[in-house]
Amino acid sequence: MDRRAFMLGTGAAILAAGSARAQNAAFPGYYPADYAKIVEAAKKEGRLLIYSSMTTDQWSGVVARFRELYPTIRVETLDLGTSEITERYLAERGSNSATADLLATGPEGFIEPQRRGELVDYASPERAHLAPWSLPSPGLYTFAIDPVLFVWNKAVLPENLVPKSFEDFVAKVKANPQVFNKRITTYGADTGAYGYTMNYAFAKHHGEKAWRWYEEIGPMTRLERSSGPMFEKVTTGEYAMAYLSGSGSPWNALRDPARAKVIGWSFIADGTPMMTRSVGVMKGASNPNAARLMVDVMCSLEGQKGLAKGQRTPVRPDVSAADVGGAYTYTEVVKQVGEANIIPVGYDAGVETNYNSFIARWRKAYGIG
Amino acid sequence: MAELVVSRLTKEFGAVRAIDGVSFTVADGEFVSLLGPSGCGKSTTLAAIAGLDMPTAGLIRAGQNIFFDGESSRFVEPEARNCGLVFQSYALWPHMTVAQNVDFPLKLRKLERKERKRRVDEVLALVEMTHLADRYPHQLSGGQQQRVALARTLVYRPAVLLLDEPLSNLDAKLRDRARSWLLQLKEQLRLTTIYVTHDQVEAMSLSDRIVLMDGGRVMQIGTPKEIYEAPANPFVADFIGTSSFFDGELTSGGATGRVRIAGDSEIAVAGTTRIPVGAPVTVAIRPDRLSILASGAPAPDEAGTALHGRVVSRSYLGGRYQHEISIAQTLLRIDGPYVLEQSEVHVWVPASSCLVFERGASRPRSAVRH
Amino acid sequence: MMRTEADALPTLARESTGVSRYITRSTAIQSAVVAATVILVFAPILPIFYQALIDRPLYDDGQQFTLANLTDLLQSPNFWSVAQNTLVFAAATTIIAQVLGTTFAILIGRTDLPFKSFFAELLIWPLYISSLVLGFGWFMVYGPSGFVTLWVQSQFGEAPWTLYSITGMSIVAGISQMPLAMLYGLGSTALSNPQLEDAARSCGAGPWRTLRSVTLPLLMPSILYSSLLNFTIALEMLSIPLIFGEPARIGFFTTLLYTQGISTPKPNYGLVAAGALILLAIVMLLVFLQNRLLRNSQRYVTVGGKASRPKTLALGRWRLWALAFVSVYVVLFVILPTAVLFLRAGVSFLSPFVPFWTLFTLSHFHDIISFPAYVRSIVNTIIISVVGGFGATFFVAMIALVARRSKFPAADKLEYVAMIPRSIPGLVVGIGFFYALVLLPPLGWLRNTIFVLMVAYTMRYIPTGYGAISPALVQISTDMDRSARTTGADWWTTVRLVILPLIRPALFSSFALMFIHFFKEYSAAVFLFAPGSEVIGTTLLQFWVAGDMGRVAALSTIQIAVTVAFIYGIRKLLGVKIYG
Repeated sequence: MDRRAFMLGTGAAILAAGSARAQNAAFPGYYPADYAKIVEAAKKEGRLLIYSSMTTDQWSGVVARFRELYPTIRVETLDLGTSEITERYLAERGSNSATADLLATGPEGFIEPQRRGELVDYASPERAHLAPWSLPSPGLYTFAIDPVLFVWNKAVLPENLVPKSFEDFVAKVKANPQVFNKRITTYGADTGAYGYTMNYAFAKHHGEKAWRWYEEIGPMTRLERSSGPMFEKVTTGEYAMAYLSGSGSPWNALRDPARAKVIGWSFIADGTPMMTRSVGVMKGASNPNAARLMVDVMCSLEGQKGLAKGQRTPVRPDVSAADVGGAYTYTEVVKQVGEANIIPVGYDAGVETNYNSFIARWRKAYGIG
Repeated sequence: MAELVVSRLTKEFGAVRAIDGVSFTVADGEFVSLLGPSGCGKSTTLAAIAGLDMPTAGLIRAGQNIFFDGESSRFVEPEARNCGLVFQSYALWPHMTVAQNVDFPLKLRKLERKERKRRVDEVLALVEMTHLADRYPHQLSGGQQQRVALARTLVYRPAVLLLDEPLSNLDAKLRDRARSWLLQLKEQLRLTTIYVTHDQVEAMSLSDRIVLMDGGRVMQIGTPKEIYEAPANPFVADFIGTSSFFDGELTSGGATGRVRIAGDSEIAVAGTTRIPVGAPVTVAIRPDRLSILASGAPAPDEAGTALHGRVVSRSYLGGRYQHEISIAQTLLRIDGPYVLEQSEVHVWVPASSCLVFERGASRPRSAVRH
Repeated sequence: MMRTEADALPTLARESTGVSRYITRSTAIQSAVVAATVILVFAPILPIFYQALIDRPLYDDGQQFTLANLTDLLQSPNFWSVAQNTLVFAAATTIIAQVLGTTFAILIGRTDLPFKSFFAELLIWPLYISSLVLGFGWFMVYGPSGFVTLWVQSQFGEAPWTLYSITGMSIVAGISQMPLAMLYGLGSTALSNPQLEDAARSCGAGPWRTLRSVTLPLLMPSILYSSLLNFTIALEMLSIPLIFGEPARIGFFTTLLYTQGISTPKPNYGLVAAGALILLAIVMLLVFLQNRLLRNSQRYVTVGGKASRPKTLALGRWRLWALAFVSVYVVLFVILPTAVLFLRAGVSFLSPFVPFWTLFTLSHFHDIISFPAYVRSIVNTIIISVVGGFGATFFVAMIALVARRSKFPAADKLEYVAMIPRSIPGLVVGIGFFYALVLLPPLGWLRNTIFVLMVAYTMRYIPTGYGAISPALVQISTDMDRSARTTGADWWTTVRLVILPLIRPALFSSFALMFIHFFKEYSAAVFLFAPGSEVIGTTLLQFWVAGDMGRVAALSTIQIAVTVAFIYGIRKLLGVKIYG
């Protein structure tokens, strides 16, 4: 009872706040003439359910934009582990239960749904404004791309040992085991999709060189599974440095100038993997129209700005640094690292077929088991 | 009220037969003891009557109310039997005061508050516990707890009152007081009562009749006097009167017969008409009728035998002496007001104190021998 | 004067004959409890077992029976070294938790230790937060860059410990599970009979001898229960192996299952289900052994019918030593790891290189209360813990009463059923309930409500509650119920008015345990929560994964504050003391 009333209460507040401006929201000229039909149908649906691995506040910017446009549609996001997003959808779908309208996850999460034909081939009117690389397959839209970094503790790692590139990093680790041994960290490739797909793309980019590097630094590395403990331990100095670390936590933390005194970071000059996140309308959607609207919002200029507020790096080429308060955009990262040194971690058929052999080799290089 | 009938009651625990075809009847208002050594099945019988254990076979009936019938598998739950059981452990509920403990059965019977209070007060007055009504059980002495336990069963006028060794947790002095108090209560209430005990003094002094049990079977049923004076077998004779035993052979029968015992002595015995001459017999001798013959004194004017024996031990019991006298490899205990100085005596054994049992039936368990 | 006609009492008309005696009120309740237990336990387990024996996900067509899941698991790399690590870790954790927990239970429950109610409150704290968060607190204090580690290093050159070892992990896990052993022990000491101790003292035994020879053996049922629980909790513990084992590359059974079955690009629930089968087999064996050890439960009856006065044992000259021991323990292992957590919640970050007093901020708390979903997760958790905790305690008490105090056919088997959930890892329980709900259309409406979380949590923590209640029941003499039955109470009345009031401290312990575990649970919720039914556990996990450790600490602080307030408040409300 209480909970129901509580939820209704918050819903009502959102309605009141958004309704005034939204009434005469005009769509850009390139939207189709019958777009209003989708909007009407979506309003009738009245709600939208998204499974993703983003927290509520990472969603809040883009959801705010959505509400601005469609104040009567309630957006619910469910933050799940990367594998649970797909498994939960498939299990619910397999048993004909109510399930998510949209999935928003890494490319590997869409492999199985795509094989089962679970993606709706929706052509967003924003399509023309997106880079071709961000449209991996019909119905799938890459809405964010997050670079992977070097992150170090300035108090522990002397200035002269800060790596310039991965090659340099490996050389410095090798030369200074007293500083680096057991005090460097990264994501395990064998403990989750994030670490696996990134390392897969990284090794594919560098070829055999990458494996030699792995063999050099692997045995001196402590592996973490999530960015929470990883970044916290870099902050306390337990780890001198994290390589191939996510960018969300450090960039968010570095807004605090005190922390910026402790934490240093850089792109990886000779190859920065960039993790993509895609969104797609699902066949099992109960609210397919609202789902279409959300895809359009996420790919729109305003939606991309909203995502940037949640530390998602915008992919849309026309988003400028000024649009996102000085934060990085894909364009900006490319400008800094150079197109050739971008390693997009996207959909790749080999990701699935080579899993076992890759993991076996990676574990061997890292000296596990 | 009701008579209680127990018929061919049997209870098996796995392969063990704890009670084996036990039958007896308790008349309305009668006080009957189940007496026997521990493990004889008396407590199991009581639990079966109360409904706490499901017997294997037999019948239990109170008046027209059949509690248990093995044949029709009728089993009345304990709460529907209206029995009052006083536990050896008292089993007072520690989270309730004395008054609450006693009030509990009345609450179950949904009596009005005023009526309940009246009855609780009444029964607490009866057991002289009014002044402690608001105490908790752990604040009471053992004797007080025992009274509360009794009050808790009396308060709802059970059809049958069942007492499971209620005095065994009390010290000797308290036990004597409690016993006479119980006797008084019994006379006052006249409830149909079954009293389980291993103490023959309690059974003798309280009971209208005694059911003596051993090894899951009934050994004898009778008034205390019958059981004492005419035990059905050596076990009963031993359990009730701490007898001494001689094994021997019946040499002549009749109202006063003779038995030859070890050492070729013969003793005169009473009531041997049903035993054939020549049969092996056991003679049980009750010590309370024995006397020491002064040397050279004539035998008393009654049927009996003077047996020659050796004084083995003398002990002072306060006001009297007990002697152990060895006669034909059997020890006789004799109490007397004076100490026996001499080492050899003649003991007068009246024929009326010698009970003869044909051997082969029930053996005495603890006959004094050496 | 006693027997006048007017005094005749109404007889209790509850007698019954033949067949009808099987459908009294009491047997109806007993049957309902047995049926509910069996359904609740097997509903999530059957889909899992089925999953273990088929070659593809449960929701797919064309399933074939196979043993491949089991053989794959047994043949996975390092299976046997992982099994060995797991057993060593579980055994060490259990021993540490039991030795400490029993010691504290006796010190607080049976002796004149000074300030014992204060200590009793504090010692339970590690149980209030999930071992994930506690592990975080530990590495902030005792990790390689922890405050205490750095201080010891600055004084002595080196800190002689490491958390990244089986020993270190066992200590963290043992200390975090210690309160369970302590609470179970306190439940028993509250019922112990001082006469038994007095008897030992009068035979010439000193206080320590008395503790060892009388007090301790009488705590055996509760020690065995909490050992069994702690052992299986350690077997299926994921958080501490993830935090400390993985960086040090020490593999455990659950990390193996988690890595290969769940957190991989290709989840394999068949493997996870097969792992659950193995755990179930181990736990059933342990329950069997425990039941053999407790076979003669008469030996442990301490509350006989004869009432006696509770009394504490005087420690004499050991009193100050005991005080010193408890104080040091509390400061080092309770206060420091929690204090650092509180501190982390109130600063923007924590690092030995920046003085923390320059970093104070309320932003983490502010972030939490400004998102409705986060606030809702707190409200939901409170509702689930209070309502679900009461419901679960009552339900578990009923299971224990039917299993131990009724003549229901095969009631003793119920105890085995009640222990089964202990062997199923939380994540698997969640998946099992998820399947049960999606496969049974009539139950579909339950999904996405907090009710399903209450049900799943209840199932998951039946053994935890059972372990608090069952030993207390063993200690209550059956004469207590038998005397109620003969005075005219049926089984249900006896239970309500006599037995339940007598085990009130154990019921409270059970409620407190349920409340605490429901409050911090996340693994079973991962697959079952939905927008609107978020709980603190899932929100915490999201913060953790996203790297927002400040929010993790802030939410944990709220969690501790609410738990402490509720446990304290309800205890005051019900008038139950945590000891004595």
